[in-house]
Amino acid sequence: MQFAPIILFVYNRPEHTRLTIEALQKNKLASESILYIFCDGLKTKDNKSEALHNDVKRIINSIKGFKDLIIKERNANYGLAKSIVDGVSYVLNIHGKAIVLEDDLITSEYFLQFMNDSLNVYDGCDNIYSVQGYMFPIETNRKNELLLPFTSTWGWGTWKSKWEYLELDLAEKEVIRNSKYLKERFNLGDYSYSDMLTFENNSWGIKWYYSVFRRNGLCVFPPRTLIKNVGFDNSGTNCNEDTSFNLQKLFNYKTDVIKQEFLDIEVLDKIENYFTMKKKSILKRILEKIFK
Amino acid sequence: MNLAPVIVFVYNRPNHASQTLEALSKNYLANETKLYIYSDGVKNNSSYQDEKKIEEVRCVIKSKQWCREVEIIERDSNKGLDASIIEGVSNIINIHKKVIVLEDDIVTSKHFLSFMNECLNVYKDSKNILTISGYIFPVKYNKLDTVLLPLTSAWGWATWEDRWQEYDHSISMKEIINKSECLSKRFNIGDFKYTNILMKEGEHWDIRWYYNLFMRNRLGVFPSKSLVKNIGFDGSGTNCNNNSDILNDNFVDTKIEIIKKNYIDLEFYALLHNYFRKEVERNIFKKIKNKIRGLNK
Repeated sequence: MQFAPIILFVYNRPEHTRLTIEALQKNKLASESILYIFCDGLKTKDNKSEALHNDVKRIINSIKGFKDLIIKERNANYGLAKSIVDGVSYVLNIHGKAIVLEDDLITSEYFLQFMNDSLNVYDGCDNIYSVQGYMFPIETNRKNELLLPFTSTWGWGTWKSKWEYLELDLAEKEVIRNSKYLKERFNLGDYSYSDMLTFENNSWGIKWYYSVFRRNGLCVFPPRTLIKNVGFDNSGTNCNEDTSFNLQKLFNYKTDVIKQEFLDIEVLDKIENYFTMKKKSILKRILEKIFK
Repeated sequence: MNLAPVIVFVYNRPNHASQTLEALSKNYLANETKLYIYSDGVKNNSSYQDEKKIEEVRCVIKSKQWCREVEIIERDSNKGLDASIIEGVSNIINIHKKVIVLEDDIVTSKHFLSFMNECLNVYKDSKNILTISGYIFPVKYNKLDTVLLPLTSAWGWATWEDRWQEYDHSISMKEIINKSECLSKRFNIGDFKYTNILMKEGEHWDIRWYYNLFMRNRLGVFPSKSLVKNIGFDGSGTNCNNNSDILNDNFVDTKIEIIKKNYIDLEFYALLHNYFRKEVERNIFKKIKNKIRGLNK
């Protein structure tokens, strides 16, 4: 079997990069996977950031344990969005499929297995646009992969044939933002993806989600998370602190990928509620408890 | 072009069947199309009048050469619309790999067959497209175009063999769609409550067909202006209520250019939701007005 290459995007966080790589090395299929690393160029050159940047470069250049290691150092600062769009397109043109990680994502030992199995099983399925490693902290009894109508940027994979649908211009973003119904369909509960449609700079994930949403596409998710984000410490460029995700435990077991046909509406409902409950006022929650 | 056959399902409405078949025969491709007519039989406990109606229908369907070739299947007993459609579509799609389906109260524009056939060809290999529809709700939209929507319609529609084979018409439908706020919003079009139909008429083939599309997150192709009108909302049909003004008195009489798309027309989809919001607002307004009039009496 041809395993999908891994693309890792790094910048100026040596400690996170080290943790991300260590976890990835422990993955069952690491030694059979090619690892591409794109290291972005520095934005501002002062002593402190140059030291961090050099530490990152030292770490990535001494990586062992993969089938092949290909490092691409940018000679200018691309920013995360441009770097990812460019890097993913580059690798997909060579390999046809790829698994994408950023420098603050700790993977389960079974992450690569799940991603590769899903990329193989769903290859050529018209309505499946990507494979995800992250799963929201909700309780389910699911044992296999499941299908949901949105993307996530925390550890994911796709095929060249699907990445070609990426729309960078967000032509109909105002249509979504101006329609109450479309906004609700686009958002996850109170979590306002539609607001992100206005973040023109340095955002690529919302453009990928928009492209999938417009096509009524589905994405493959694991039943429990294979990714833990350790970037919520203000070290990253695009993160705000949010502790609820930090309590999640990695799922360290194999998940059988059985090729689902249907959207998992029970899990979709739970995720929507998860994002709605979080912001509900205490009074509303008490009232709901009383009248349940 | 390899044209899809048409199936018309008829039962006990000679006048409607006649209008439907007349309109079909005036379609541009009618003289190149194969037509199957499934005529359902009498119910066990039916009256003499019913039997006479069915006889009249059978006279009507044989009275003309509606299309290039006409094959009539007369059932001895009453199968009912749902079983009849599922069996008929399965049989014909097995032979021809694709099919266009009409019921006896669907009057078509003369461009209907061209639109359906062209879309069937253009979207043949786009497996996320489940169905082609000739009907669309009368949304005010300034372009004459094809639009992709996550919806199905039972008023003049078409599909392919592989899509039809995925459709499990005995599927048990999940009640959570009705109970969950976010899922019912996703399932309904604004205040047009598909969830109510699901709960009340869950056994019917068309709500199951829509459920099939919903669960697979697929798409249907629609004209931006309707190519059919439904003449069955006069209390004559088995599954109709006379409570709607979505019948499209005017259907489009010009050719629709078909450009292959792979995305939902979000603008149209938003308009469709607004249409059904307004629809309900208008009805409430009417009710209030009637109440006031009643009080004045």
